[in-house]
Amino acid sequence: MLGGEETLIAARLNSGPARAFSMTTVSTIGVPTAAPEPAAATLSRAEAGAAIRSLTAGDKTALIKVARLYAKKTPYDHEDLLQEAICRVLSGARAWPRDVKPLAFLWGVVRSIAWEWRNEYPDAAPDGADPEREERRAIASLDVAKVIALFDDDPAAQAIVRGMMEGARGYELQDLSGLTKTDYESKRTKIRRRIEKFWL
Amino acid sequence: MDRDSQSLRNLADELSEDILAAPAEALAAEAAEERGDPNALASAFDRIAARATRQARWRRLVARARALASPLAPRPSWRHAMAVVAGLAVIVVAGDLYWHMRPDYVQTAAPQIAATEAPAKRSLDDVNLKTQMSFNDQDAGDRLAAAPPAATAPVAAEAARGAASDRKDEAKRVPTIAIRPEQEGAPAASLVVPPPALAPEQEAASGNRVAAQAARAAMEKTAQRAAPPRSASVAAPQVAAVEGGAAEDRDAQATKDRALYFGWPLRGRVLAPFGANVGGALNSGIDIAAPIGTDIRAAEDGVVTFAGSLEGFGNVVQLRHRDGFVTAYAHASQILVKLNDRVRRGQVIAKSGRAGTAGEPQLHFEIRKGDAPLDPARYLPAG
Repeated sequence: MLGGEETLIAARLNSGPARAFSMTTVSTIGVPTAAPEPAAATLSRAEAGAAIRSLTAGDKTALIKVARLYAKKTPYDHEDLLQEAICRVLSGARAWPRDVKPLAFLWGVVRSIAWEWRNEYPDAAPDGADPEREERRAIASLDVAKVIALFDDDPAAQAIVRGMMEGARGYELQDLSGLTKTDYESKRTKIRRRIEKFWL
Repeated sequence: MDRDSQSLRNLADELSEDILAAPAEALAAEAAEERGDPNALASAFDRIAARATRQARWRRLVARARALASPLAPRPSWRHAMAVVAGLAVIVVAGDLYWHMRPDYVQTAAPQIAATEAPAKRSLDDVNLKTQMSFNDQDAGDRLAAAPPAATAPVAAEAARGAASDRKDEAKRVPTIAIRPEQEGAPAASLVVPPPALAPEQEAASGNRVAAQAARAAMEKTAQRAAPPRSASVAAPQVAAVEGGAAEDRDAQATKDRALYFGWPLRGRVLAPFGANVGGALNSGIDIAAPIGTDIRAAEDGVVTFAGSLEGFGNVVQLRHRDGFVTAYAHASQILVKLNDRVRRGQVIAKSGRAGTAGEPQLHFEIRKGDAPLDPARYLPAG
């Protein structure tokens, strides 16, 4: 229980002007008071450019190879395809979701442009009649036959290739080949290299 | 999509996954095996990315310009179109009435014109010439000479409109080489020889240099046609001669253009024809495959107006020929001529290469007249 004088002293200590130390003030100018803005869902053009510039040599090599594969059935060559893909990204025509990695994103862009171009043969008649459609179909059929014939000497590889063409994936393909995981992986590499050389 | 195409697409998808999952060392080894350099494909990517960056910048500029211009463009609507049609109809009817209701015309010209052909089917320019031919008197000549604004305006306007239309069509092509002839090594907006000077007010009035030139040429030609005969006795022969002369001029010009066929600068497979999409832009020349070091020959006698390097095109030679024709030869590995040299048709002026952004050894060859790129196939011998 405080006496009368002690009460007085306590009251004086608690009063503003009589504080024993000065209050520290912190400026709030420029400090956002609201919750921080969430990052945009897509990369800006500058960010996209930086991401492309920061691709490794391996990534770049992979993208060139991918473009070669997809350009095969378009009227244009792989450099055009890749250039168009990068151009669309840099000009903002293709939004780059922030959570998608560069390699996967650019692959998707290349793939979709190849698809778009494949349907835009310049000689297609405007009324929908396409005089060369049958010819393109015959060529595609021939390509399929040629690719399968590439592996006449390797039935396991041929089975994998047929499975790939049918849309089988992963374990399905391994089952088709009847190979162990290691053998299956090396077989796929062999298939890829042989087809790449054939299509070059 | 048919089944086989889908099969190939599935295959490409699967192989792509393998490529993307492959270790960088393996890819580098494959590149080394293929091109002799583990970084060859990565370098190619860098080159492509640089081109794409420039192209993207250009597209953004174009998009921005369109966005700025769109509020200014007239909104298409049927009311607007109807107003234009109605306005034109009023002008035509009023002009026709004015022409035929003139007292002097009614008294003297009408009977003779009626004897030749129906006026409704003729243009003002036709009327002018026909009446000159049918009148053998000084008054008629003077009267027609006094009417040049009415007579020349439709022709000049038509010529300007035609030239503007051509210009608009040509503008759809993205010029791939831009050299100012008088400045070596400096890329600029125009490739061609400067045109004959026009009065500033004519330039401004036309709003288009080419259109103004065409208008001026048409006005001069029409003025020639409408010149008053010096005496009544020779009026008709003179007019006939002028009209015949104009026809001869046209024939001579056509013959001259045909005569100026160019020679092939080199022989090879055409990689990209005129107007093809090359890297997102329309090709304003033709690309001809040629091994490095192949002779590039002058397509026609001319003068070297540029010999140097341009970004994207590597070594470039440009020649100016007669009648305003210009030819350009790009991606050369070596240039054998210098500025202001006179060259003969067939003379070796450079060696082919893959300088600049050429993906493979080739010659990019352009023919232009004025600013307008022309399809070289129309001016080169077949085969």
